[in-house]
Amino acid sequence: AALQTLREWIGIQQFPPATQSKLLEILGKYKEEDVSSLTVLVMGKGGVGKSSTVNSVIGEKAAAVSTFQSEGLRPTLVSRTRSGFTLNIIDTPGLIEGGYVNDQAINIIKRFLLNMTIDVLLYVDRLDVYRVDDLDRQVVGAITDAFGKEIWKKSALVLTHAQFSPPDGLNYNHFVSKRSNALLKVIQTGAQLKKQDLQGFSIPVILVENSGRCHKNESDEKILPCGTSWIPNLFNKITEISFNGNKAIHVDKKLVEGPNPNERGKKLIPLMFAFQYLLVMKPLVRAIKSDVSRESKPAWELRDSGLASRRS
Amino acid sequence: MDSKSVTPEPTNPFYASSGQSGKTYASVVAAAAAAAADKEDGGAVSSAKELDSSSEAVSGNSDKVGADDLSDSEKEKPNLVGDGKVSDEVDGSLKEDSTTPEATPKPEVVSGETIGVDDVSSLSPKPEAVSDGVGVVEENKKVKEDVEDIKDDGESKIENGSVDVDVKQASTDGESESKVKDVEEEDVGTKKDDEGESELGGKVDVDDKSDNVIEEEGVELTDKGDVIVNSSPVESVHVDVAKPGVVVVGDAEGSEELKINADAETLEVANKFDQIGDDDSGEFEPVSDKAIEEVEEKFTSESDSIADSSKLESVDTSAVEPEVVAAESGSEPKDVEKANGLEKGMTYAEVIKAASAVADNGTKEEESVLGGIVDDAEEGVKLNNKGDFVVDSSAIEAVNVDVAKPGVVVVGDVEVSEVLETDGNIPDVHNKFDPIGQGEGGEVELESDKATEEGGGKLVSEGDSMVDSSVVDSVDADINVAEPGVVVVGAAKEAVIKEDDKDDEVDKTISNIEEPDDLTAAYDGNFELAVKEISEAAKVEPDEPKVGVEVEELPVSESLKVGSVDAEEDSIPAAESQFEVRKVVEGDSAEEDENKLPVEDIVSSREFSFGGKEVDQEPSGEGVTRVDGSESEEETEEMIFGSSEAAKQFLAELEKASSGIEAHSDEANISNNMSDRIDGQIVTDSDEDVDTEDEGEEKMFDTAALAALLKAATGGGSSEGGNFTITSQDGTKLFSMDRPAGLSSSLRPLKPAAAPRANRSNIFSNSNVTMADETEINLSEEEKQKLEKLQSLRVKFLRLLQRLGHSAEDSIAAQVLYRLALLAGRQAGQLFSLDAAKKKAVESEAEGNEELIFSLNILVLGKAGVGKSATINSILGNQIASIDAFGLSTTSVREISGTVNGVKITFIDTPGLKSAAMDQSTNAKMLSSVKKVMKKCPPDIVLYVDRLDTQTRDLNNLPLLRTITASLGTSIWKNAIVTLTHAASAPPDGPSGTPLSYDVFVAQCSHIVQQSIGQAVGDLRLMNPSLMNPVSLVENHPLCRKNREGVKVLPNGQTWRSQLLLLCYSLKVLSETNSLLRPQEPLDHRKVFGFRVRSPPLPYLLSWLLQSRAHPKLPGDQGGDSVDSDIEIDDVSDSEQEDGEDDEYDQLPPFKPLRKTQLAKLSNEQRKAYFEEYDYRVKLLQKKQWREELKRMKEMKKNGKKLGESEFGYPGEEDDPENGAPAAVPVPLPDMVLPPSFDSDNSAYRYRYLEPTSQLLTRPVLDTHGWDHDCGYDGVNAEHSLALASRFPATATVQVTKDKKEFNIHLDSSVSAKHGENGSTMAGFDIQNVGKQLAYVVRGETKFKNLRKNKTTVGGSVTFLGENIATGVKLEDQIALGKRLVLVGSTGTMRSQGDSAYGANLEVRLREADFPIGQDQSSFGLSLVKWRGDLALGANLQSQVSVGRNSKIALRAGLNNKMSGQITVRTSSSDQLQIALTAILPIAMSIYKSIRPEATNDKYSMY
Repeated sequence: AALQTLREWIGIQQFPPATQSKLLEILGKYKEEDVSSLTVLVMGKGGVGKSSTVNSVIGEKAAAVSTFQSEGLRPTLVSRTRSGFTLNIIDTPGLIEGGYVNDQAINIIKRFLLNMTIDVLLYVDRLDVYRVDDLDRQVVGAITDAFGKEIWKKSALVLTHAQFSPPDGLNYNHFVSKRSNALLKVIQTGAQLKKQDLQGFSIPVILVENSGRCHKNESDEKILPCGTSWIPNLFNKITEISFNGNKAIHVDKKLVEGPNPNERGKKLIPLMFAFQYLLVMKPLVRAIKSDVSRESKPAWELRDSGLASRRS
Repeated sequence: MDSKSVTPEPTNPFYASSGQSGKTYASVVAAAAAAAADKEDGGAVSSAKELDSSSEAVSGNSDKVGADDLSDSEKEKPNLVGDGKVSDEVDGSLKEDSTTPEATPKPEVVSGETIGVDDVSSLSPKPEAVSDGVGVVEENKKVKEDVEDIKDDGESKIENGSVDVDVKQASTDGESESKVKDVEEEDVGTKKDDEGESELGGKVDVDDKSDNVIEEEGVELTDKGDVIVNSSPVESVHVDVAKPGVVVVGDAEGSEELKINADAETLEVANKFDQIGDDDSGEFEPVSDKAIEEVEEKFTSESDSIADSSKLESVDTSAVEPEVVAAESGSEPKDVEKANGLEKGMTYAEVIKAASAVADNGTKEEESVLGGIVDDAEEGVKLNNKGDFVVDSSAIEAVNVDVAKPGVVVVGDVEVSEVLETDGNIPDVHNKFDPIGQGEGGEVELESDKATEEGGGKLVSEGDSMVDSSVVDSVDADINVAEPGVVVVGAAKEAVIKEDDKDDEVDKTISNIEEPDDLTAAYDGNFELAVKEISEAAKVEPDEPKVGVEVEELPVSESLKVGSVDAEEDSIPAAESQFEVRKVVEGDSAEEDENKLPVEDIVSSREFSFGGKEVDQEPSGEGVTRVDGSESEEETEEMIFGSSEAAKQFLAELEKASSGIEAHSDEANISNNMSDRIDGQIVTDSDEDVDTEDEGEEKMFDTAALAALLKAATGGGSSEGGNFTITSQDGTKLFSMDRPAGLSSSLRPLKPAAAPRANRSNIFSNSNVTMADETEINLSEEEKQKLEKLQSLRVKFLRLLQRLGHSAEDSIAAQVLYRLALLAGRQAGQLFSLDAAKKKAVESEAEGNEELIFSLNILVLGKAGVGKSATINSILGNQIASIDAFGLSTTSVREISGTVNGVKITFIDTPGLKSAAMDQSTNAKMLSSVKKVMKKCPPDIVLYVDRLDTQTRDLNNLPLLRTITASLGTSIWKNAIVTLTHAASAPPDGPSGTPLSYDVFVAQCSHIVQQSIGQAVGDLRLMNPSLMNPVSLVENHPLCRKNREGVKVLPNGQTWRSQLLLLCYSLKVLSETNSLLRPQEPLDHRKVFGFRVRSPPLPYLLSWLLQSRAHPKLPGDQGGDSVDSDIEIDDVSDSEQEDGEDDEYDQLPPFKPLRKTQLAKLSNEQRKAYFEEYDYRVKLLQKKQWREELKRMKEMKKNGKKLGESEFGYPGEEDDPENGAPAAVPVPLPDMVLPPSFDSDNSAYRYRYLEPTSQLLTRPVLDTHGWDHDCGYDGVNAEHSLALASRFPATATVQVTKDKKEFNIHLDSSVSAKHGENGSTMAGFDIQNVGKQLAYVVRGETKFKNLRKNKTTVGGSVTFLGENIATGVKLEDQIALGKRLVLVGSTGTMRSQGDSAYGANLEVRLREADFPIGQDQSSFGLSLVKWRGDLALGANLQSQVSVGRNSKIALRAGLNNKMSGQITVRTSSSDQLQIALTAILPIAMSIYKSIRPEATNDKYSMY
């Protein structure tokens, strides 16, 4: 998949000028850091807007969005280059099916990612849902199992459908924080992150509105109810994560296939043999021999043997 | 005609048209239509519509005779389908009173016939045959005659003298300019007014000249596929079609599907219509010159289509391939108006033309030319039916359509439904219409020159869309379809659904005049009005003079419209809109309107206010002119008559207006372009056509005629179907516009809480009327009561409706009422008419003192956080249920009650379900507590709540749905409503990047939910679409948009709350009705919710009771004289008399048994002799022993001494062990045969109880039919006998078996007490499995020995089985006849819950003379059981015979009166007879088979 021919990032031109300039600025930052490519993995449950987010980010219809159809199991890699910088976004299918985490999908994703390095993980969910449930935890758990806890340090929580007015007169920001906290908690428990795991790091929350009805500001940028123009914000956050000092997750064979049980401890085998021979067998043999030599026969046995000898 | 032959019987559910398969599609359709017509109560105006490919149906109502002529100069298959539709409305119209019976089946029939005639001619599969104009004319004449006949019938009906002229020209071939052909149909239905009004209609001659109508290809109807047309009474239709088809069912007046393939060719078709209408007043000529139509009209209908007529309950069509189905509900009478002018069968162009023609006609009569609308039919009207469509007619309850492909469906009373698909060609169409109406008033010429439309009008309908007509309860549409489909349903006069292939957008342009509010108010702005689009399109292409004119008539269904003319002009500058947008006056007073009649004044009685808005917003102005008749039909009539002048004026004005329009429209293209596509495709909808048609219709009549018409419309038409249709039209329009196509009609948008339209009459009233005639004479008291109840239900429902602000015409309401009417049956008299109910309802509401006794229990289920509690709050109107956006707000099952509209509603609010598969046990736990509450408070309705905006196809809800089904039973879904919250959320972006239309979105979502429910419930559900749950939408968000009244409305304009309530009420009323009318299958809640009460198997219990049982005896009594022992003490004395014999044994010379080796040495004879001797001796010995035993017992009895237990044992033990003779009595239970080794395969030892003489005997139970290497011992049997208090003998036997599947226990225990010598009483307690339940039986009986040879037993039992108690009594008598013969007769009865079973047994037992010693015996029994009117008679023969000295054969045979039986032959032998037996087996089998082939036959050979 990585061999996919690099395509120029044309979609960027589709953004309003204000957004474009912000993006270019961000690209410049990468250039400064001498980073030539960035790989973003997008994961989440089905129907939350992963593909739409990818499309919004790229600025073109790169990933097929089908509103009601689940997309199938294959991840899609979207690569776009812009002045020497390559942005790879991997869109993945929904991880839940029929009330279970779809392990097959996860495996496919893992294999797809083989030999790639994940710079940023975007964990996508909807903002306008009120509850979290065990499925969320299971999804997070599945991601953790697949890529390790460390991946959460390179991750952001993306909340789609952000253009939304909270119910019951709740304040928008309040709602956002409650919802994102609930999800962050899910991530924390689902990934079994301990406090110290996240020391000095908090998973950023990014709001996204992919709908064509997204409000726009005077410079035609798509904005959220809170007024931020979300596309640049998204890129900013992504950039922050990619530079946050934590190690990017390289998906190697080991990660994909898990540790090979046959390899473990192989070298110790001769040692164990030597140990056994020297420390276990030897003393045992010695003990037996000495016992035999020290054997004292009871009287009746002697008598019997005496009789026997007599008879014979 | 096929049509005739086909006439369906109302009861006939299916019209399998298989017989007709050979026929042209059209014919089938026609037939169907005819059938529908026949069926319909008078009200059915079912105009048969025809869809014909080849033939176009010109629907002439009876009133109107549609003469179509298509002469194709060239090969052609001119499609002329004149539908003679006889609108029976006439009936309706004439009768103002609902009471007046108008069963005018005849007129309908006539119509059918007429249609048939026309059709036949025109439809004849090979259109060419039709080409004779003359023939057509003749046929028309026939029609006329028919009409006249009708008149003769004395039905005073005003036949609308409307002439429908349809001219179709399709010139495919190149540009052949077609000349007007002359088809002259000379008569057009003339209608007389009985009322003595002059026949205004007179005859109208319509000349249709269509020159060179070349239809290439003629319209081809290829019927490939099965077409099933159901006539109205069909309850459910399920069709799976794999191929494309087109079906037009019902009364569609004209539904056409045209496919014009213009491949890059521009065809010019010049249509010239010269219609001349001669009225008294004047003449009319519509001339349409040069309509260039591109042509190939191709109707490819390949597919199966199912069309249901109006009464179908559910239609399910899943077609894999394209189908076009136009179903119209014939049952509901269409409006006369519709019938009049609208022809649905025509090509688009034709339609348009027809419309114009009609208009012209109308004008003629009116003397004005209104109609000149130019359609350009550009025609590429293409109907590609690829897809399955299911269309339900109005009465249909649920429609389920899964379409994988594009299709077109026209359902209902659509007056004109067109689907146009033009392939990118731009045909120039010049339509010139010159209608000339010469009336008194003058002449009118409408000319529309050169309407040029760019032809890229393409209607690509990709997608499945389902449209429900108004009465349809729920329609499920699969919009997931990736392919184009267009569905027009209902009475929408014009519903155009356009979808662009390219864009994949589905634009539905439906002009709604009604409820503009909703339209305009698009919640998020997501909602786009078609009009807007149009306007935009127009803007985009200003150059082109396209004007979308939408004229719709929204006949006020109930009110009479005198004439309604809707003129819409386009706001497009290019087009000159002649009509300014009028103010829409929401005036309830129709009268004023009438008086004014100015065209400009648009009086919309109610809904129109919106129209105004629409107009404003949209560039296209809609002028709606309505004249509302007086509120009451009668009034209306009067009014009309009175205002004839006014009417004239009105008409004149209309004409002017129309003429003006036309004039302007010439270049402006009045023809509506619904939308100009940027793509260069132009979809042209002839809204105007429709309008014109309407106008035409109305105009067709003179004032007088008009009046008559009105009468008809109101009285007959409206009441019958007319109103209905109209209503539906309105509804449909709205519907189609607003509503998600897939939503069930139940979801129909409410009419904005309009003032109650009390005056609306609807279909039902008419039908009632009809019923009234029928007779109230024969009503039995019981029926009357039923009807009364029904009526009170109806009143109740109507009151509820009123409180909700719904009209009775609302689709759901109409459906319910319709059902009620149906259920009431034909015998319902006037007393029980709908009108009476309405009156009563209004009265009681007005008085306000009559309590409305109605309550609802609603169970609310759904995932966590979807808004269950919020929904409850919204419905109850306050914050009773606590809600919290984040926490789990509802933690336990709660009941929340409130009062809404005076109805007490109790909600059972439940904690949210979890969707993770792992959490289902939690769910199940929760649901079990729900179940408890349900017992206390059985829910009438179940709301399954989910969010509209989070639907995906990943089946995440399946686990929880399954859990619900498993916990609460499948029946939980029976009254379930799928409730989708967050209904105002914006639809997601479609594939093209633009948002999906709200309708599509909702339809998809509801389909997803419904599908998952179906999946969770199982296949059965999927197969029966009528079970599809209705969907309701809910938006609890406080910011939800509200309408003027402050009621929350959805983006589609639906006021969801009242809609939901209505749905709930309706479901409840229906279920109450069902339970009322079908007591045999009552819909009680216990049943619904899975507490099915199983009635006990009385026959089984009875036979159990009748079994004669031995009373347990004290050990001392063993073998003694206890009352029930078979061996009489007397026998003993008898035997004692033979004392001589006694010594016989002793006197025998000593006998030394031989050893086997010695035996082997004997010769055969010797051996035989030896054995004889041996047997003899054995017998003697046994006898002796027996006698001794008896003696001993006698002794014992005398001494009153008890025997030690040790004596209860094995008296025969000391017998010669070698002789193997059976041991003498009494024998303890035989111990089981033990295998020779302790083979682990044989587990018999496991259960063996080694202590031989114990009173507790335990044995394994061997199942001999187990698998190899299965241990075969699945159970254990224990028996114990003991004496209680040393006086009451008791025995208990228990057998317990348990295998992998089931656990069975069978316990028999009894205690007996003796009363002296001749009586004994036994009490017993049994436990046994009956089905899956345990039955506990307490029984008691007393036996008397009243004579020496006679014993009588009286007994009774009480059985507890589940919740049921069955009691039984029995009487048994046993007579011994001589020593060998015993007669036993018993009889008994068992009762439970008013159900009882009676049984009797008679048994004859024959024993060997020296019985206990000789074991031969036979018995023959007869048993008789009567249960639930079923008599079962069985005979049983049992015989046990010794064969030779070493073998025994037991034969058992049974046979019952159902001629099934069983024979068992069992042989036991100590010889090696296996081989011989193997021979017997097949022999016996074959013998038996020859006797009774069906009988079962088993044999067992033990050895």
